[in-house]
Amino acid sequence: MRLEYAKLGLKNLRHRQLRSWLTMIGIFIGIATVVSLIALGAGLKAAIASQFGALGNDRLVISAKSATFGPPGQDVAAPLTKADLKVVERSQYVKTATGRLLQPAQVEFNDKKAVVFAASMPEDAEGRALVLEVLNVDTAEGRYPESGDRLRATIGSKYATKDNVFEKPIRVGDTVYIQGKKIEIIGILDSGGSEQTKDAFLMDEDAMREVFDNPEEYSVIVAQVTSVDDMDFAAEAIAKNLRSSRGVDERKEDFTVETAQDIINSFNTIIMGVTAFLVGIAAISLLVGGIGIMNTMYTAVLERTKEIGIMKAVGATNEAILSIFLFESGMLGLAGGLIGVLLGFLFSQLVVFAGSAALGPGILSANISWQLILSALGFSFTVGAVAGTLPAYEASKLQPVEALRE
Amino acid sequence: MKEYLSLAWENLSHRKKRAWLTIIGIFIGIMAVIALVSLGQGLKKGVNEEFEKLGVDKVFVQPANLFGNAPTPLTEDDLDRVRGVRGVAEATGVQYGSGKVEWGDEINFPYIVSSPSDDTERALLSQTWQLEVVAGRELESQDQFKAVVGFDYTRRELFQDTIQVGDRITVNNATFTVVGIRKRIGNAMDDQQVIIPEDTYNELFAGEVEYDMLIIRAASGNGNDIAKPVERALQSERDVKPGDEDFSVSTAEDIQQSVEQVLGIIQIVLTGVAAISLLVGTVGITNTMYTAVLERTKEIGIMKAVGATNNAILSIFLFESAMLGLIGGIVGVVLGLAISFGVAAAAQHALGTSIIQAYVSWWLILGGLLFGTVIGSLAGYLPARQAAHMKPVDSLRYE
Repeated sequence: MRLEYAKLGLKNLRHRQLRSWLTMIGIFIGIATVVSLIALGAGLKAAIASQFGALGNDRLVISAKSATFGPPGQDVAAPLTKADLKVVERSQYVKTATGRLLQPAQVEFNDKKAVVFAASMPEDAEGRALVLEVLNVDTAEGRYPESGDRLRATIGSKYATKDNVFEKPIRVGDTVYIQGKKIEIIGILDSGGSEQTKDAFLMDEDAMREVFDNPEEYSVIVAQVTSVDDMDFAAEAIAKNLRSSRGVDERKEDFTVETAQDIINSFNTIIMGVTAFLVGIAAISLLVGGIGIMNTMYTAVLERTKEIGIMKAVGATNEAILSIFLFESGMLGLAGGLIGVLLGFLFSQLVVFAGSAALGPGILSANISWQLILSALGFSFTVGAVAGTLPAYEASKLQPVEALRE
Repeated sequence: MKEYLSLAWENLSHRKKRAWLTIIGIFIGIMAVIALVSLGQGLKKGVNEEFEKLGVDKVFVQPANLFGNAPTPLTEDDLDRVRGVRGVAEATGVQYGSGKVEWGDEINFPYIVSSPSDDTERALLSQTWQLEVVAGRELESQDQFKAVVGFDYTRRELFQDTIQVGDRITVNNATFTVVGIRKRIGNAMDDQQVIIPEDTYNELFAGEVEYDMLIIRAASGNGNDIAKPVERALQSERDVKPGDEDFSVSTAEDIQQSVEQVLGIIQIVLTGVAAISLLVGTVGITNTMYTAVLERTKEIGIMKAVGATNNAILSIFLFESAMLGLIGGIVGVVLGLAISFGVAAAAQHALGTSIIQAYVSWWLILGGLLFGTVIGSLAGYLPARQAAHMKPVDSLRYE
C-alpha cells in the first residue's frame, strides 16, 4: 500500500517536471548550505581535537591562571616554578611530570628580525620522552637539542622553506640570533606535527633559561598519570598539593589542572556557537523552500480537484487521499535533500580546497558523517511532509460531488 | 501601464493563497538581509563613534607582539625620546598585566592597568581609554594603593559579591581602597579592569617599567602628522632598521580601518548566507509564474486571438511577478527593520552600550524595495516569455 502511494507520488511529480524541479531547487539549496556549514564546522572540531589530542588522554596540563589569551604561562600573576614541578612529580597517581617554557622570542637571521615561538626541551630523559611523544614528529635533518646543548636550537619545518619570515631558508649549521645571543641551528623538524610545532624554535631547557634570563619559572607543566582511570584522582591530588605548597585556599586557586579533553571542549563550545549561528541563518532558506513546497502542493490539489473527486467517487477514503498528497510532498523534500547533500559535499570540498591553497594544508577540513547525511535526508523529507500537510488535508476534506463538478 | 498594474493586481488577488505563499518566500529573505545590513551599518557607526572618542589626534605605539607578550618591551627611554619628537604635544605610557584580585572568599585574574601620576598624562589616558567614573572619583596624583574598578565588579560578573566605592580589595596580596567605579564600556576586557596608580603598579609588579602601549597626542590635531617622525625616532632609539621594527605605530584611523575591514568581511559572509534564502524565494516566484502561465493558457490564447501583441502578454506577466516581488520587498523591509531595532534594543539592554545600533537609511529602504521588484521581474521573465511566445491556436486548444 505504502509502495503504491510512493509510486503514485513519483508519477505525479514526473508529470509536472518543471515545477517539481523548481520546487526541489528551493530545498536543495538550503540543504546544501546547511550540510556544508555543518561539515566544515565538524572538520574544524576534528582539526582542533587532533592538535590537542596528541597530548594523549593520560596527560594533565597544569598552568597558572592569567587574564590573557594565547599560549599558557604568558603574563601571569603567579607563574609556575621548578618547586611546583617537584610537587606535581611527587603527587599520588602521577607517573611522571615535566615542565616546559613556551615564550615569544626575537630572532634575527638574514638581517631580518622576527618574533617567533620558542619552546624548551626537558633535561631529564623521562621528560624528554614525554615531550617527544607529544610533539610526535621526527627531525628531517640533524637532531633534537639535548641536555648540555648550550646555544643550540632545532627549528620547525616552516623555517626550512623559502617563504618563511626571514625570506631565506634556515639550514642546519646556520647561525641565528635569539634575543641577541648567537645560536647554532642543529636540526630541522619533519613537516608533520601541529601548526605550533612547525613554527617553533626548540632549545634545551637550561640553554633557554640562560638566553631568557629565567632561572625558575615554567609556562606549563605536563603530568602523565599512572592509568587513564585515575585521571580525576590525579587532578585532585595535584590540585591539593599545589594549593598547600603555593599557600592558596580551595576555590582561590591561582592555577588550573586540565585534561586535554577540557581544553578541546572549551574550543568546541566556540566553534559550535559560530556554526549554530551560521546554520540558523542558512536554515531561513530551508523555511523558504518549505513554503515553496506548500505552494506547489496547493497548486497540485487545485489542479487535480476533479481527479480527487473521481477517486473519492470510486471509494478512496479521506486517509488515502491525505496519504497520496503527503507522500508526494515528502518525496519532493527527500529528492531535494538527496541533491542537496551531494551539492553540500561538493561545495565543502571546494571550500577546503580553496582554503588549503590560501591558508596552507591541515587547517580546514570537511567532515561528512553518516549521521549528517541521514539526518539531512530525514530532515528534508520531514520539511516536505510538513509543508504538504495543509494542502493534503484540504484535498482529503473535499466533497466528492463538489470536486467532480469542477 | 495603469491597466497592466490593475490586471496584475486582479490576477494576484484571484489566487490569494498562492500569491501570499510566494510573497512569504521573498519577504523572509529580504527581511533577513535588511536586518543584517541595518545592524551591520549600525555597528560600523557605533564603532566609528568609539574611534572618534579615541581621537584623530592620537598615535599609539605598541611592542610588536606575539600573543600579547613582547620580547622587547617599550621603555621609559622610548617614551622620553617620543616626547622630544617635533609635533608631539604630550605622550604617556600604559602598563597592564594579569593580576590576582581577591574579594570576599573568591579570587580572579583580571587585567591591572597603570595610571600615570602626572595630571596631563593621566588626562590623556583617561580621555583615550574612557576611564570616566560613574561613582566615586578618578585616580589623582597623590593616590597610593587606591583603585578604580571596572563596571563588571558591580554586577556579579567576576565576583559573587559586588564591590562599592570604599570597599577594600586585595590585588597581588596588597590591600587597595576602591575610590571609583569606571563607566560601563560593554566588553569584558574593559569592564573587568582594575586601574591603579603607576607608582603602586611598579611596586606591585616589582620590575622595570615596561610599557604595553604609548599614547601620543599631536599638537597639530592630526595624528598622521607625527606617525612617521615617531616611527623614525623609535627606530634610532631602539637601533632597528626600517622594516625590522619590533614595535608598531598606528593612528586611530589605522586601527579604525582594520576593525572596519574585519566587520565588513563578517557582514559579507552573514549577508551572503542570508541571501541564499532570497535565491530560494526567487525560484519560488518563477515556479508560481510558470503555474500561472499554464493555468491561463486558454486566456492567453483568447487575448492573442483578439489582437494582444507578444509584448502585451509579456508585460502582463512581468508586471504580475514584479508586483509579487515588490509586495515581498515592502513586507520584508518593514519586518527587517523591526527585527533590527529589536535586536539593537536587546543588545543595548544586555551590554549596556550603544555600540550595536539599528541603522536606517533611505537607500536601504529604497534598495530593499527595488531589489524585491527586480528579483520579481527577473524570476518572472522566463515564464512571461513562454506565455508571450505561445501560438494562439495551440493555446486555445489547451485543456
